[in-house]
Formats: sequence, C-alpha cells, structure tokens
Amino acid sequence: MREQFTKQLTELRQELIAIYTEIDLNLHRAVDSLVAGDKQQARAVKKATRVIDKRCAALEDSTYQLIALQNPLASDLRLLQFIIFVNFNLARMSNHVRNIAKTTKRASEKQIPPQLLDLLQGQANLVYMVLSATVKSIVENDLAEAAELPELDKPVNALYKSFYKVFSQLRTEEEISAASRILMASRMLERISDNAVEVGERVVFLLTGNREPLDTLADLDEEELEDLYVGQNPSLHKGTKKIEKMTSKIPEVAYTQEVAARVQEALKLAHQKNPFGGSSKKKSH
Amino acid sequence: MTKYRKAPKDTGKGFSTKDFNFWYGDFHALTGVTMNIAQNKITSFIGPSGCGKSTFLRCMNRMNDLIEGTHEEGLMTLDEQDIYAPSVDPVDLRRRVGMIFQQPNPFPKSIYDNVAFGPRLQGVTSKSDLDDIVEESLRRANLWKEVSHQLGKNGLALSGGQQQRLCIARVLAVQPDVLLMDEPCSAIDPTSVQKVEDLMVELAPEMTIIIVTHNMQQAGRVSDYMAFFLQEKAGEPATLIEYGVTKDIFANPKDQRTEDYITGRFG
Ligand SMILES: Nc1ncnc2c1ncn2[C@@H]1O[C@H](COP(=O)(O)OP(=O)(O)OP(=O)(O)O)[C@@H](O)[C@H]1O
Ligand SMILES: [Mg+2]
Repeated sequence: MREQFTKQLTELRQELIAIYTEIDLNLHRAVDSLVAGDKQQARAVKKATRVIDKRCAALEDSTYQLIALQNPLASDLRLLQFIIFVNFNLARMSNHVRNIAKTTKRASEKQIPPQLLDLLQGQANLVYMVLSATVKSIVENDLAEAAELPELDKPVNALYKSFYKVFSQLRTEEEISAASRILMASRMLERISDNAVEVGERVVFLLTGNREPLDTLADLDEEELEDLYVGQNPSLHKGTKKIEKMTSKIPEVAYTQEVAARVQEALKLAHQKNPFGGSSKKKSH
Repeated sequence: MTKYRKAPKDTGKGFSTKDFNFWYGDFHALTGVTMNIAQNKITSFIGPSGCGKSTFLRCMNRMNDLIEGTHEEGLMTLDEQDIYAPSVDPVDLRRRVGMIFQQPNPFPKSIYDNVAFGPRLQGVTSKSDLDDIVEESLRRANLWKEVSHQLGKNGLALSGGQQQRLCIARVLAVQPDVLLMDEPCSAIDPTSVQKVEDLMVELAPEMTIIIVTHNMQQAGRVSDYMAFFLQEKAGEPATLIEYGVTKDIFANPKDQRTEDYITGRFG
C-alpha cells in the first residue's frame, strides 16, 4: 500500500515536471514565432497549450483523488499541496503562453519597431532563466536555487516597466497600434516570471514545511539553508532518469552580452524624445 | 533530545513530568520523558506498538502499581503534587484520573448500577442524588437517549460501542479531572467511534483528556497536542521523540522518525 502510494506520488511529480517542461518549450516557440512573425508556429503553440491545459486538469483530478483515498500527512500532504498549487500556476502560465502566440498574428499585420522586438527578446531570455532556475529547484529539491528567484525576476519586471515607458512615449497612431501588441506580450512574460517565483515559494514550503518568503532565504548561507529542510518524501528522489530526460530538452539560455547590448540600445532610444521616429519601419526579419 | 513544537508550558496545573523513567522488573520500558500536559485540552499519544504509550498512560494513575516488580524514577506531578509521593493514595488518584480501555469492560450489573458504582463507593446514598448523577453522566457520555428507558438492563447486553460509552459514563460519574483513554475506539463500530470523538470534544473544555490511538486521522481530528513515542531498538527503553501542537506535527514533523511513522513508512 505504502509503496504503491509512493509510486503514485512519484508519477504525479513527474507529470508536473513534464508539464512544466512543455510550458518552457512552448514559451520559446511562442516568443520565436512573435519575433519572426511566424504565424504557423504560433498556431502550433496555441494547439500545444490546449493539450497542456488538459494535462493540468487531469493532474488536478489525480491529485485530489489521492488526497481522498490516502488521507496523506506530513511530507505526503505537502507534496500533494505543492502539486495542486504548481499545477494551478502552470495552467495560468499556459494561458499566458497562448496569449503570446496569439499576438504573433496581430503583430504580423503591423510594422513593429525592431528595437521593441529586441527588448522583448531580451526580456524573454531573462524569463527563460527564471523558469530554468524554478525547474531546477523542483527537480533537485534545492532551496538555494529557489532563493535566487526574486533576484532573477527583478530585471524581468524592470524591462516590462521600460517597455511601458517606451510605449507611453510613442506619439503616432501607427506606432502606438503596433507597439500595443508587443506590450501585451511583454506583460505576459512578466506574469509568467511572477508565476514561476510563486512556484519557488512553494518549493520552500514543500521542503521546509514553512512559508518562508524567498527574500529572507537569500540572506542565509549554505549551512543555514541546510538546517531548514525537514523530513523528505522518498518520491522526491525517485524517477530521476525520466525527469532528467524530460528537462534536458529545455534549451540553455543565458542573458548574453549581445542580448544585453541590444536591450541597452533599445532603452537608450526609449529615452530620446521620439524613440522610434528615425528607425527603420521595416521589421528586421 | 525530545523535539518540542509549541509544547505546553509548565503552568503548575495538571500533569507534568520531568525525566520520567519506568521499569517492569529489570526491563527499562521508558526513559527521559519530560512533558507538560495541557489542561482541559486533548492530547494524543501515538507511536508504534510497544513504544510505551500504554505504560506511560498507566503511570499517570498508578495502574502499574498493581503489577509486581515495577518502579519509576524521575518526577510526575499533578497540580504540582508528586503523584508517587508516599502521602498520595492511589485510589484517590484514580478517582481524579479516570481510565477507559480498548475493550469496554462494564461490570456484569445493570446500566444504572454501573454508573452509580463510583458515587456509591464515595458514599452517595440518596436515591434521587444517584438518579441525578446517573442521568447526567449518561447524558454527558452521549448514551442517555439510547438507554434511558432500560436502565435496569445488564451493561453487558449493550452493543460494543454502547458499552464503551457506558464505561465513559461510569468514569464521569465520579467527576474526574483527567480522562485517560487507551485506544478507546479500536474495538467499536464507526458510528460509535464518531460518538466517542464528539463526546471527547464536548468534554475537553472542562477535562483534560489523553488518548492513545493508532489512527492518525483520529489523532488529527480530536487532539490539540500530540506526543510521538518510539522504542528505537528492541530491549532498549522507549522515549518521547516529538511533542507539540498536533497540526504542526502533522504538517511538518521536525524529526524524520516522526515523519516516517505518521506517513506509514515505518519499517
Ligand atoms: N505488564 C508488563 N510486564 C512486562 N513488560 C511489559 C508489561 N506491559 C508492557 N510491557 C512492555 O513494555 C513495553 C511497552 O509496552 P506498552 O504496552 O506500553 O506499549 P504500547 O505503546 O501501548 O503498545 P501498543 O500500541 O501495542 O498498545 C513493551 O516492550 C512491552 O512488552
Ligand atoms: Mg497500548
């Protein structure tokens, strides 16, 4: 009975991570489709997010079923609570990814200033890093990785704000209409990053049993973090091969100097009076 | 060594133990138990079979005195009085600290006589006083409605769940301060289990209740505080591993052994 239960928990956790991976991959595709104006890819992403939604619903059902049947306590209950919360957040993220894919079509009808696309790509790269750190904290049951999340999320918010600033300085009808489509995508990226940080907070709850804010964790050294862990569920360390295989599909993304330079360039332009007035009206792709 | 989780402080009221140890002959059954039991709350004792839950419970009303060759060390107090002091009369103590067992054990007498037994021993003789006590005790034990029309019936003719509540009524009739319950629900049907649990929650505001249970869900439903006992190796004494607020221990046990036990992963 107990062994069966551990196996079921392991499977639910694997499915959670599998969904997470799918969302990460589809976010890449959605942003790529937007930047490249690839409507076909955008459609494929929309379809994929519908499948993800179904998986989230099924995962939710299985989780509640286990709660009803097993009367779980301690780390069993925390893991199930964790899965329910993260799963709920994944469904939200899936919706955000879909919205980004939807903007591809709308944006492709307009000439988007390339600087805005650079800015968006830069922001996306930062979000990929947040997502990777979150997945890593889940897969490796790593508090230290979760503790990094707010720091990683900060520049995402900063870029979204810059985006907004750029937007508010636009003057011509045409520019505003084009940029508003991208602004929506930027907003979605910012939300996805926030969702991931919330997941990180639940990693802390899962591993420590406490609802410690991530910011306070960031101040602790390795040993102090080690002391926070409480009784660990065996299923957290099971099925690792399969999980590794899944998560290895997520591309490594860094916020490279090149990306940073392009973001800086875009922001500099944003602070000029007529930010995109002199720039090319043609998309760079 | 014991991990305390917002465990009750020593208020000078109710039960407290300090480094309490207990032996059956030369078998050291319990070691180093230090705890304050919250007054007028429900505390559950949990742990694998043989970890000394019943032993410790029986120490609290000196039932173990009845077993040849036992002795204790350390301190166990009730309202700051050392209950093992020579001046303490165990019979008197057992009136203040009542006990309910796993197997209901009514006397082979009428329902009425079962409940009136204690008060009569204490010298209550007036019929109307006894009537009042019997009714009140049966009501508090959630049994009155079922038996009021048949008080002359033999206690042993009741169902198991009713017998258990009759035993509770019998204990309540002498107005104890503390009620010890050793797996009171493991031999009765689910409806009676619910009645006994309701009854515990109703009694708790004016009575300290300690329940030994193997049912985690029951411990979670009824108890405010929880104590986890464990005998790590056969032949070695058992001890108190973790003690404190039930919901804290259920949500995140601090000790891996508690975690393993309450999640059913114990070897
Ligand atoms: N009368 C006795 N004489 C000698 N040893 C005893 C006696 N009663 C209990 N023991 C021993 O003391 C230890 C604790 O037993 P106890 O009955 O207190 O455990 P328990 O936690 O209540 O177990 P269970 O959950 O099975 O009721 C056990 O090793 C048991 O064998
Ligand atoms: Mg026992």
